[in-house]
Amino acid sequence: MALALENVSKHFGSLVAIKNLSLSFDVGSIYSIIGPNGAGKSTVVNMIAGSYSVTSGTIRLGNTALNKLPKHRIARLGVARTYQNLRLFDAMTVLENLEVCFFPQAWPGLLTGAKRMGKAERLAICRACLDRFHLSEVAESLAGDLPYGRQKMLELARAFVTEAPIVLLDEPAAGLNHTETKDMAAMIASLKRADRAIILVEHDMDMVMSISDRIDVLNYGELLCSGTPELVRTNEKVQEAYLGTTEELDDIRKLAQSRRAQGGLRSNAGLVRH
Amino acid sequence: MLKVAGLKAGYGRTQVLFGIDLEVRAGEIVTIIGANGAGKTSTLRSISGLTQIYAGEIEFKGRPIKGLPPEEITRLGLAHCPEGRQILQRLTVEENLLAGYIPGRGRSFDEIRTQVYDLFPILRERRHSLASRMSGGQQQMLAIGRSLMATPDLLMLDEPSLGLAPKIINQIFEIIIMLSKSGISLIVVEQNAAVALEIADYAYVIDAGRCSVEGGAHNVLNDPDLKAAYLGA
Repeated sequence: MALALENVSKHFGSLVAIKNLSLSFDVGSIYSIIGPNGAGKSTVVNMIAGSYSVTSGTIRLGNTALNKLPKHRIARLGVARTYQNLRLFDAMTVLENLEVCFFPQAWPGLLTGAKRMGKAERLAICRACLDRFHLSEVAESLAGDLPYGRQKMLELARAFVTEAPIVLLDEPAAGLNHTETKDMAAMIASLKRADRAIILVEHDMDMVMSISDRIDVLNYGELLCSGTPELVRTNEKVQEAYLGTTEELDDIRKLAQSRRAQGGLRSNAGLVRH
Repeated sequence: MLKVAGLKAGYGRTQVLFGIDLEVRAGEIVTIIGANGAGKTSTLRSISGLTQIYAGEIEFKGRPIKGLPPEEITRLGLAHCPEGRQILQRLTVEENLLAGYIPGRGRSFDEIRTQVYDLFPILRERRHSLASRMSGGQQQMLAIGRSLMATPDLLMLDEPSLGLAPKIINQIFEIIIMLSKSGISLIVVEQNAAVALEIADYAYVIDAGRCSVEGGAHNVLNDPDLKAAYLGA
């Protein structure tokens, strides 16, 4: 199954957020959409998931045009997503947060031909999923009580529990520290499967570069560059618009040094362990 | 500039800080690093008067500020730029700046606004736009600009690089250095610990509500154990 955007545009009033964008995503790969803040990355995710309408163009999943469908229908067709800001049900348990994905009907039936799912079966799937995402021991905790890193993991689990063939991840690493980001990257990489496309919007370049098969770079609503991590990393236009150049980092270091050189600060103080 | 001693604080019955000692000297950039949930944000919130403080002392410019209402602390010259920016989305850029202005600190709104616009030209260009229409990077600049409207002597920035593009992160850190050069003392809380340590003078590592290590930022940056724990290298 493939997801395709064909000449898609999105206008907000006079603002052109996405301009004639064509992209296609096949199952079996991990894709990253990157680009400056305001480039239109989240808009793309929101259009695919049906949260935003498209101004012109078509979004197709297989042969089905998605862009006239309400978002719950799109979800049932097999498009799952996470949000930039967590959207968990804080007052429900971790397990219940997964279970809700199977209401009002067990939609995997649409793909597999299986009939409506019973509670026992549903719970078994959810528990197996929690196990997979290392959340079993907190299954009965309230989602709102989990530390942030685990909430992010639960949000991820919820996007995968229904075995959706298209999974959209909006900034899975945002707010995570280095170690948590590495764990998150390893988890996402391990979820790559022949019958699933994973599409992420992300600013953490270590994650993006290490797990993506293809990276699409957006700038001002248009495709600036698309290709392997190596190709994107070395593309001058991408460095200029988004990644920042090594010269810029050097400039910051120099600025910091010249500031410290004025002296009188504790920059050279030794380490004290308490 | 700022001294925190034996700070114990939390939210209702949930204690999150179990004895924080830290100091910011005039002109310094101090960074606080640590895992998620270690108490970094709560430390800043306690200094600003936004948590329940059970014990300890907080002194700003030689004056105890523990127990003062947050607006009074800001009026004394201590500004707090919160995590997640907390921009007033339905107001324009300029209205957001006006909301951050504190009269009676000797400088007029127009004067400081001009300074903020000089520092962030994009805010001048878009001063009549709704804040919600700004990109994440522009909103972060607006959040910092709004804090500067209080003409702070000490500015606390909570996760200024959160959710921003790498290039914009560079710009934000450059701005932090500029602010320092203009005479403002800073506390920067960052997940992006490597860059924060590059630009900071002094660092505190917070672990489970306690300060576990402190020292010159470069010494923290180059310590093998800390590197493994917080920088993933």
